Amino acid sequence: MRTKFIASLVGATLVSGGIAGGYAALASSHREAPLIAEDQYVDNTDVYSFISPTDPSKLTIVADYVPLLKPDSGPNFYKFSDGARYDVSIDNDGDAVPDIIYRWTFSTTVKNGSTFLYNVGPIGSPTDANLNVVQNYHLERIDQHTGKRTIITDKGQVAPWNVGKRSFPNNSYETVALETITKTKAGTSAFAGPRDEPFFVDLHVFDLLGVGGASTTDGLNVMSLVLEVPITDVAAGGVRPAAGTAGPTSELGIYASASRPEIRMLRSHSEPDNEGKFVQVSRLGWPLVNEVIIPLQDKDKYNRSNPKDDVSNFGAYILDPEVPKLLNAVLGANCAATPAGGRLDIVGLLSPNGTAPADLLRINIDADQTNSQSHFPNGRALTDDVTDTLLTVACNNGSPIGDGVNANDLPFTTSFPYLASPHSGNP
Amino acid sequence: MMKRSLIVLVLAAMAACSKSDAPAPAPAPAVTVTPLASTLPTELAKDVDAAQQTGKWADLKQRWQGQHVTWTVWRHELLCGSAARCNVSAFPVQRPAKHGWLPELQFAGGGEYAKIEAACGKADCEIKIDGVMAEVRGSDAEPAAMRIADVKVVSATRG
Repeated sequence: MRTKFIASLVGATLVSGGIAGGYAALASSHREAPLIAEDQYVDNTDVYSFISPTDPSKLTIVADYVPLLKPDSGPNFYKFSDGARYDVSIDNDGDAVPDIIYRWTFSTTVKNGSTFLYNVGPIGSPTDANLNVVQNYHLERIDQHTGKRTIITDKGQVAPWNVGKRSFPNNSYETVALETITKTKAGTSAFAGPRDEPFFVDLHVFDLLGVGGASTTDGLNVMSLVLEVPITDVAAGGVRPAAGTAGPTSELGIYASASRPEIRMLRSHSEPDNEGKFVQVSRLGWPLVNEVIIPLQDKDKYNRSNPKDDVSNFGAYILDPEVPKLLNAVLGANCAATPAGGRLDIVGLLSPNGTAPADLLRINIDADQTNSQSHFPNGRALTDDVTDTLLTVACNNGSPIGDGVNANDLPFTTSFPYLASPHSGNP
Repeated sequence: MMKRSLIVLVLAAMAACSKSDAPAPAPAPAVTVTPLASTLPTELAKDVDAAQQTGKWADLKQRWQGQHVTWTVWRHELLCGSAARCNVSAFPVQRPAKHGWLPELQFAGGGEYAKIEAACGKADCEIKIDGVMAEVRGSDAEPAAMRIADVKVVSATRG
């Protein structure tokens, strides 16, 4: 099968008076490759990780899926895909191979199939009988070395969709949503459900590269998996490295992925069957890698491949990225030419403290690390303007460059799950 | 479940019958593989491009796997920092990059990697290598990549 290509998301336009004379825009990983664009529920869009702002002995990981969701999208409101696997994989010894995997799987129950309604009355709690469509999840931690599986929850509940003011009167939505948080005695917290889309960007780039600081992801939602775990649960050997260790075990390497069974059998007289082994269909570590580093011919292949092979498979694209050439061609941005040895500075950012270079979100977990130090590329905070950061790194001419969108539409919160409440379908 | 088992049994029976009833298969046509014009990276890149278009990845592998190659490549310490972890650029970096692959090197014993360290230290280095194309990966589903084994370092020039 030859790949059919869709338009890539790269571009820029000049604006007068910009701090660096240029705007450019990109989307992190929303509908970034041809095949995954046809399979929205397992399209992972962003990964964030930071030392917890509420407990510095814990690490927070956010993995977002299902891009660009309109709040009033009933009657079948968005959810996770039953039958798919959603993984957050963590390398804790620097070799770019996962040592720990957190895996979510989902199942949906419709209480009353004789109505088209998502809910048949106001919803006062996650267990409210009026909530007609309920999605639950199983979350487990898998130790890749021993094969040990630890169940974090077998009956977690996905927060309901924020249907509107009649379904959640008196602004009660967030109270109900937060009641779905799972907390374990071992100190792990988990949340799954809709949130405000935290990624901010100007997507007008698709209109013949026409951007100008429009906050095009404002007002949209996304499906979020949020996890907060004791750092000792994810550190190599269960021990958090001492302050200042600065070695390969200091740097967790995190990526999110989604996998589907390789066979889906449609049947005329019954529900579809899923069969066979799971095949990875989406993955993401750093923002924007598959979006703008990997060219169209390899985007789907990137989603199927593993970070440990990134250098062998895609290393040349990183050494000689296309972005600065495009910025020069379209913007006249005066980006620096690729040095003779290639963009080893980018390779260096992907391989801190002697870790193997790979598309992993690296975060230092040494004992002296705090939330205030968790900013991209050392982890990624929700507020980080990664588009501007990466464009500036890519252009490499000493001047900042950006898309003109510098913050989210809603403030992030100070308590778990930290993401803003999703926009209402009927505010 | 029972229905599915029954279907499987029927299919198995049909397969068994057709096997015994079918005439002896004709001999498979001989696979024609075009000999390599050269074993340089540029030739491999052309073949990868062709496989990308035609889907004939098996031909690519058959043509290249086992070939003896003598290549001049570029070593960066970040990507080739030890004998156990070494990928190199097969092309000058500013091409611009049309392929993502950086070949993986597996060194022959006897201190071959040490020759690079001795000549280059941590600096970028142009090295001439001699080895065997042990593995060429790539398909419509997976990206192209390759591994050169039994690598001997012919020369290493800092710069």
